[in-house]
Amino acid sequence: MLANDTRNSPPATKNADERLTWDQICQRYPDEWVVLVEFERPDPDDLAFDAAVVLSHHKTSKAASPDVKAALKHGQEAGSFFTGQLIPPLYEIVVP
Amino acid sequence: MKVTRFQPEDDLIIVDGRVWGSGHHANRPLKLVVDTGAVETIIVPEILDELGFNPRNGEAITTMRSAVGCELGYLIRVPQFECLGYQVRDFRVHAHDLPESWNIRGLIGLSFLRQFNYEVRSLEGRICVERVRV
Repeated sequence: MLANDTRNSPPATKNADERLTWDQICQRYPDEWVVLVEFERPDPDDLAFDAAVVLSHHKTSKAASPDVKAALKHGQEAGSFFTGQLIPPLYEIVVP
Repeated sequence: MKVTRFQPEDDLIIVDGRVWGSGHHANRPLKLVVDTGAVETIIVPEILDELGFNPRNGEAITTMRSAVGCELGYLIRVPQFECLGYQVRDFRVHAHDLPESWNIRGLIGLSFLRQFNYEVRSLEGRICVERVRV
């Protein structure tokens, strides 16, 4: 396992410096909230990132929030991102 | 003219944004949905909380009416906000929860978009944005 699953544990500490592309992150942590740091951007003026380090991964955004907060307090750029599908506001899928 | 790319096959126009915290230089990247039908730019309170913002520092408490009743939110100014290739300072956002099942953390509304001329090229997956000085 690359990053800590902190669903029932104290705040995460990064245990791997492997940078993954967004596609790799989605494959490794499907339908989860991943906390990303150390973004790699080919163009510093463009917010889109090529790769990042996964600090931790969680089932809900609420569970990911303390790790984001801790990383931001340390001056790191950090954010949580959902690896699954985003649902448009006008409907929700009830039966897949 | 700045060009931002999005995935044309997605159901929504999803772009990268960034918001800065109040008491430190921390900034948080996030995915936002471009919504030309929204008046305000919405960011979920959880993200603003991560950056050290507090509803007590807000400009106003808000309510949003929906089929299931009224939900509370608040308006707050963030020192800096970036999206679609442009940064704006002292920008007012609407802190309001969105249904968790949507997995959406915010919407870019007209409060941001109206500062620019923009062209959404859906088939190409590009938004071309230009700031016009008047």
